[in-house]
Amino acid sequence: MVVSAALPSCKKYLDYQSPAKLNTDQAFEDPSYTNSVIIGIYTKLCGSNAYGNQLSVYWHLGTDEFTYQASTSFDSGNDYAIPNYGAEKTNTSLQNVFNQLYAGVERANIACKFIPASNVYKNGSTTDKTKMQIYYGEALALRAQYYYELIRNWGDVPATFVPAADLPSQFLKNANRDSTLDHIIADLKTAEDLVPWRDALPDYGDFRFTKGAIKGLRARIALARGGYSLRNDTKLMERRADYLKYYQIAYDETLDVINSKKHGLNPVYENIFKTLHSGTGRMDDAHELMFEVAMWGQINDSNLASANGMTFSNSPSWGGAGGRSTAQPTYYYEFDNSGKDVRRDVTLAQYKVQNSTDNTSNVKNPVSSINFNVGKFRKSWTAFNGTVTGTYGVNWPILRYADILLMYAEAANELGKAGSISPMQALQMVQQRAYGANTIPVTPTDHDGFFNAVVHERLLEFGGEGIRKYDLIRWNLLGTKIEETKAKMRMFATNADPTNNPYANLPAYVWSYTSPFNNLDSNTEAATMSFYGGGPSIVFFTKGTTTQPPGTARVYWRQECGSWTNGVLSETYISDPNKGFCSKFKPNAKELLPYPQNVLTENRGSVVQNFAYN
Amino acid sequence: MKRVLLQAFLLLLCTSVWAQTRVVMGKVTGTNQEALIGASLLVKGTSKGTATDVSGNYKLTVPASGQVVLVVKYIGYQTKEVTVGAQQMQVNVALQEDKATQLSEVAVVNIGYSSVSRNSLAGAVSSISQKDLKDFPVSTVAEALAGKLAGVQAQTSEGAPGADIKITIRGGGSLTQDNSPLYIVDGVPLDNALSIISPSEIQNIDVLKDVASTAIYGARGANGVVIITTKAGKKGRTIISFDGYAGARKITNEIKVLDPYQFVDYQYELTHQHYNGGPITDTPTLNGFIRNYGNFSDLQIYKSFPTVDWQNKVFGRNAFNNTQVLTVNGGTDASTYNFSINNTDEQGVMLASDLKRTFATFRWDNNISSKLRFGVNVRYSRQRVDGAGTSSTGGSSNNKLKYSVRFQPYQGLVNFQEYDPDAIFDNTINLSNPLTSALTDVRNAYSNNLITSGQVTYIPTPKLTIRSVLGYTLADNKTNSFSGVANYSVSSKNSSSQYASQPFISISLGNNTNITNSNTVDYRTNIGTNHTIDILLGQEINQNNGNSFNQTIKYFPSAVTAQQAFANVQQANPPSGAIQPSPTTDVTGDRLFSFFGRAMYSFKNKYNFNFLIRRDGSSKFSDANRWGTFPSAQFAWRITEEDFMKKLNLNWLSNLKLRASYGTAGNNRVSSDRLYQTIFTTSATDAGYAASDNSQTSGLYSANLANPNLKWETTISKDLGLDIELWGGRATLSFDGYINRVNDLLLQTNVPQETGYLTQYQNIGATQNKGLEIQLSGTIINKKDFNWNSSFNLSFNRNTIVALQGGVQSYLVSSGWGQSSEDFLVQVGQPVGLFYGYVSDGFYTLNDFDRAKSDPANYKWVLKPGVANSSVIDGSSNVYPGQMKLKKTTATADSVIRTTDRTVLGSAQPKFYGGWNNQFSYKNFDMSLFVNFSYGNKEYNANTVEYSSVYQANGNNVLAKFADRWRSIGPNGELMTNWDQIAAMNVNAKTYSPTRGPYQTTSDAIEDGSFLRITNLTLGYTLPARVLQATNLVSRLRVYVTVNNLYTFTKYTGYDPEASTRRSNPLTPAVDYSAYPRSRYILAGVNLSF
Repeated sequence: MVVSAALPSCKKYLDYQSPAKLNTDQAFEDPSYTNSVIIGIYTKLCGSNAYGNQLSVYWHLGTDEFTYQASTSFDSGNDYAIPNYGAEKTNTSLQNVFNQLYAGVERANIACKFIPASNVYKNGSTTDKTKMQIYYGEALALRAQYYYELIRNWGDVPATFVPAADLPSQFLKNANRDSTLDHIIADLKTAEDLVPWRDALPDYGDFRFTKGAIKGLRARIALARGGYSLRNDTKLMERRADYLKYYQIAYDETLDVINSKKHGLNPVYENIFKTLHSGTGRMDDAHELMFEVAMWGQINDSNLASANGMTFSNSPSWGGAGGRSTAQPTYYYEFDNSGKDVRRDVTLAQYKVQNSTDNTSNVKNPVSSINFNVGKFRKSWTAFNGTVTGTYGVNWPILRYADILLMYAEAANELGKAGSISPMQALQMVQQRAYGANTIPVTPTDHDGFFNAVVHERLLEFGGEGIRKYDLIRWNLLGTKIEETKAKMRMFATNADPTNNPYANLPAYVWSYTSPFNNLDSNTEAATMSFYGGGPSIVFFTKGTTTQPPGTARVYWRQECGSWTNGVLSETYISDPNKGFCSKFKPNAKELLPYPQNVLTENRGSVVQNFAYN
Repeated sequence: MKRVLLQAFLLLLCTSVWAQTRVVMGKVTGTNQEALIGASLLVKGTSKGTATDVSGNYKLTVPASGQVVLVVKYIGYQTKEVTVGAQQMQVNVALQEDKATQLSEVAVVNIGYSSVSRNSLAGAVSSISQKDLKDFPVSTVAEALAGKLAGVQAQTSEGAPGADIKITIRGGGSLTQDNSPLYIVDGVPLDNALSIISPSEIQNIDVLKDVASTAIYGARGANGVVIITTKAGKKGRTIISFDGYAGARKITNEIKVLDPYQFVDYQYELTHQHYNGGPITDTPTLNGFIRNYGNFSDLQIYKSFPTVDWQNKVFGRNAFNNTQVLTVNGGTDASTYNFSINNTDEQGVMLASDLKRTFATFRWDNNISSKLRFGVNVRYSRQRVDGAGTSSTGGSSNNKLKYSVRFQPYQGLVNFQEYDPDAIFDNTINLSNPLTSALTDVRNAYSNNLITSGQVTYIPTPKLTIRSVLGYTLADNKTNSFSGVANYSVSSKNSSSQYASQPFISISLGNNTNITNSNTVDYRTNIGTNHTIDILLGQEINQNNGNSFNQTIKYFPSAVTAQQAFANVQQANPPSGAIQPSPTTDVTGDRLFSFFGRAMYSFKNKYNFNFLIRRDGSSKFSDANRWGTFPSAQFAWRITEEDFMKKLNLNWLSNLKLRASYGTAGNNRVSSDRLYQTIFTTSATDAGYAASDNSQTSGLYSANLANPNLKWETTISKDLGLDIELWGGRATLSFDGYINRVNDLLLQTNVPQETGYLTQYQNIGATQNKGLEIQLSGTIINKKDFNWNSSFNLSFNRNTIVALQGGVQSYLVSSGWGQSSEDFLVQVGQPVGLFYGYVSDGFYTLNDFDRAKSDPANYKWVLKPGVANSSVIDGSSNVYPGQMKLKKTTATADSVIRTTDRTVLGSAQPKFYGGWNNQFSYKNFDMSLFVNFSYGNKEYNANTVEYSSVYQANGNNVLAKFADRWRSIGPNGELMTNWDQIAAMNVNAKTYSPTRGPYQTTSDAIEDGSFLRITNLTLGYTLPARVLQATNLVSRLRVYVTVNNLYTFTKYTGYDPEASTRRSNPLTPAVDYSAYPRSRYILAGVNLSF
């Protein structure tokens, strides 16, 4: 046959490629296409199965700040199962998040392979080379973010750093999380040298990784690597002996960021969160927000402020929105009791916004003590009015400068070191911003006292921002704090023994009036809630009447946590085996989630289930 | 035609002159004394001859003296020799039809790039000719093909105008890819051939079934090849013929539902009994009921409400149809032409659904010289299909048949579509008013196709034929669709964020071109008298290019009509903060480069050996795997040619032929995107990020996990056939047995999720089809005035999955119509299309409960030990009397039905299928009757699952059988709590109460899909020639009446047992969900020739 003779001529004919698609040569030899590839990696941070909903609304709940109450017939497949530590491997959210995070890893792996191998990266013009270096750095940082999220939820997840098409076998085994974390900590070191500070990348804002954010992420991951995590071999929460090495990394990185002065604290705490809603433009000139996941309306969006956040119900201006996660009733009282700390009323939405009886204006009605939603997300801060339902493109904060300061304070305290500022100064900077003109509390100076102050400060500073659960795990305090919170709630219940009971003077009910909601600053709106017997600063802290004054609505307070009769507590909120607070938590077992059923199936045995779920 | 050409050729070549001549005149007539046009007359022993004109008359110059013998020939008639006396001037000849040639149908079979006589055919080829199609006034070839050929399964998936007809040859080997055959029209491949060729244009259809035959077409022939030859012009006077028919369609059955009182009575039960069995006390629900239907004491009034039969209102019309075909045919010695124009205007039975289609085709064949021929084929088709239909590939909320079945069976005052955020009760109905929906949801699908081809044939010597065929096809498609506020997806509470309760449209444009060029050299020679050799070498390219544009535009003013919306898209205004979706475009393309060769050797026309090889290169595979080589061989042995057979002197056995073949072929039917490489595509949804906070940037991402090892899927086929011809061809029988095995299946398989993808295209697994085909045809009665020809075919096919990916033994697949869990099982060793679900076991009666432990007063029901707990059906942990009951199929301690109790409920594969065609003629009357049948296949009646359930929505009607359901509401509207009263009330209960939980697949819904369909009955009358002669214009006039889809004998309870609406995935066949109902079509027509 003539086949062999004609072969070379038809090779070109058969090399057809659709102009609608790009191959790797095209995508990585042109910086603007490479930029598009990087954009495609960021995508996987958004949407319902990542920081748009599951990771921002549910997964981090179940601590001493926020939770999401389960129902009496506990369903391990429901969204509430994960915050209550009762998810089983068949829970579809586990599957969806797992898939999405690995899709992010794969996209980053492709970029990390092809960018440094490209001609333009090696031999391009200076401008092009610089761009390609930044993109490479971003890809490394994004991959680190995805792996960090996977590891802190599942532990020894399979790890690959090459594109899936290059894998000799697709059936990866569990990889030791310490080495995976070491890998990404090293990657982040590479990345931070490639990506410049935010002021050199003005169009990045804090929607893409800049040097400060990469350093902050590296510090955060280093603290996790140097912290506790649940081990499958010993079935215990353990930290590695060389943990101080990682505290040193965190110390170095945070100190770099502090010394750079490229980021600072936003003087107005509330404006950090308003900025995320972008309804009124950005209000963060200090660049406290160092990296946030930029959501986009109805395509790659978040449920923040729409399903999760302050509740709006039939409001003439904003319709219905909000709900989901609720604070432990005790969280409110963790803040300064005299109301000096502005963070309380930003973090905790103590009322819901409704329609006035004459259907003309927005009013607020206080909610009961267990129904405070996350106040950091409010539809009234978006540009969306009442007729629009759905999602609003509210961003999720991954890293803020306050975290840099507190990580620095923690690491420096652990190492007994101080750089350009002292650990005490770092902590107090965060406190002082919250207290404004008020005097901040006295800070302990001993190692343990200072550590506990950091633990407490992080509780107050980052409420509802998806940080607490993973802090508690790396400190091995998750079980402790859950038990502590339960104990506090038992004291919070009515008729509890008043001895050494911080809640002894609190009311069983408060009696509220409807008051106007004017979308003013959070502290003003909270302070203008109307009650029988005075403002919230009075009625939330003093025993009032138990009979309903005319014209008021009953707002359950201590009564919501239960009631003691003859030494027996009747309640469902605290310790019901299904509906109770963190009802399915077991220390040294539930700190990690189960691998989804489909992952076990499709991996044909190469991925081993976390021990608590076997 | 071949014979005509040959005669023409002879006439041209051989001319000799007589010195003295006289003229003989006369007329040649056929069976019914009709004039035979173009009959040839030859003076025996000479080359002198002529042909009859349009009136059948001839004039022939013969030697002046002596007798001559005229040899009169006409296709389909026995050749007659007539002696012309010395003085005779007028000789009329009446020819007798030759049954033998008629029965053997196609003497010449197209085997790809060339033809052979049926005698020497070695492959499994089924053919159908224009004669078989002429009595079927159907608008597409696909409809005409159904049931006609053994091994060829043509399934009409829905009754909508222009609906898909799925053709499968010998089962189909691919699991997830397209199994449709390759269509070659006059030498050019054409994807949608069956829907854009008018049946009246067809000369022949040859279906190559064994892979050894299809292998000549290589890559795309693995699922069989359908070769369509259209009518060419005929030399002679221009003949104009006109065929026209018109008629009406009407649906044949309805799904019976509850009448107004029964409906309201059922709604009452629904709103007063909680799905856990207890009473509903929730005030909005109870008040909602009163607001919509009234108080319990007033419900009797519904007995006097006139029932509105929505199905009748939406599908009940007489759908008028008419088709006209005009053909002009003629030619000279040098060139022939055929022009045909076909116009169809077809209403669907559903309101506002119709189809308008015009085909125009021109074929011109030209002899430039005796060695050079040139031909051109131009075809244009323009089609418009209106109507959104009933089915959609989406889930249950996108499918629309339920509107007509489930909407309240009376005209009510309450408008259920109104969006009211405070009235949860109202907007959970999930339905649109069927009439409003049918009339306001618009879909117009336009398609324009231009198909052109040209061919040049050069015959330097009679032994050598060099041919080049160039084809160019262009398809333009446009679909406009409009969803108004009546559409549930627009106005429902759940979708309000997406559409803000405002109408939206979508426009999708597609444009595809195909260029094909094949060049062949064919050398035929005889060596001595015993050896015949035919060698064909060829090369071919095939390239496809497609581009598409899609745009959805939302937020039109509520009152806009479809026409206004399409005419003025600028009027769409997004509410503040909302954005319009971006348009999307795509370009796809693939290339195929092939070489092929075929050597045929025949010894004494007794032993025929064929060897084929094809080498295909495809742009879909990487350099290393691009080329596939596929060799095949065939052998045919004409036993009757053997001397020992001849000695037996079996006069009744005219021909006995044994065929055997072994073939291989490749298949590359996967996406044309370079699946072997990492390829980036742009997407706003899958790769977008709001990097600037004020807008979103669309990024690039790799949508598929590249597989550099992707290669050709290979089909290996073995075929053994026997052809028997009896009594000089009065009866023919054909048997074929085959085993087709597909290896290295191109399958989209699940991969570990850490790859970042969920699936990847891989070459994995294998399937096998084993089968037997029988084809019989013959003349049963052959009298002067009465003829009965009959043909019958029967096919058995056994499909088996031989292997799946990486040792996986089985997995579950969901057809996705709305059921809660997977409904198909894919298992090694089993066929494709196993229905999977729970086994139903009637319903719970009081006998199932332990009276001592139960407490009806507190709605507490305790099952007797060992009675299966089917709570999975209603999604509640309690079971109570009247609920559907399931059978426990696995042993567990607690007899609770779990997902593990699901089992195989039947197979969609028929045990056998076939067709039986009868053609009768009595004097000038003709009649034909065609039935086709399928036996042993199961059909998933998913409609009944939905219509037996209340899932997620109140206010929906249910099947009429629920009038006899188990009842829980007492005479005063109270939930009954007394054991004995409940028992008394339900003595006559025949069925469960409609289910409350998610839709579950149960054995109740898997029905026997066997059927025997009277597909076509035609009665025709041809006016006698002598009557027509008077007109001196019309040469043939036939009038007829036809009923298509006359009656279907089946146990299936849905609209039609052939329905298949989840057809995008080959793994989920035979699901009847929301299919457009099929109709009976009665029509009358006329065939007219001038």
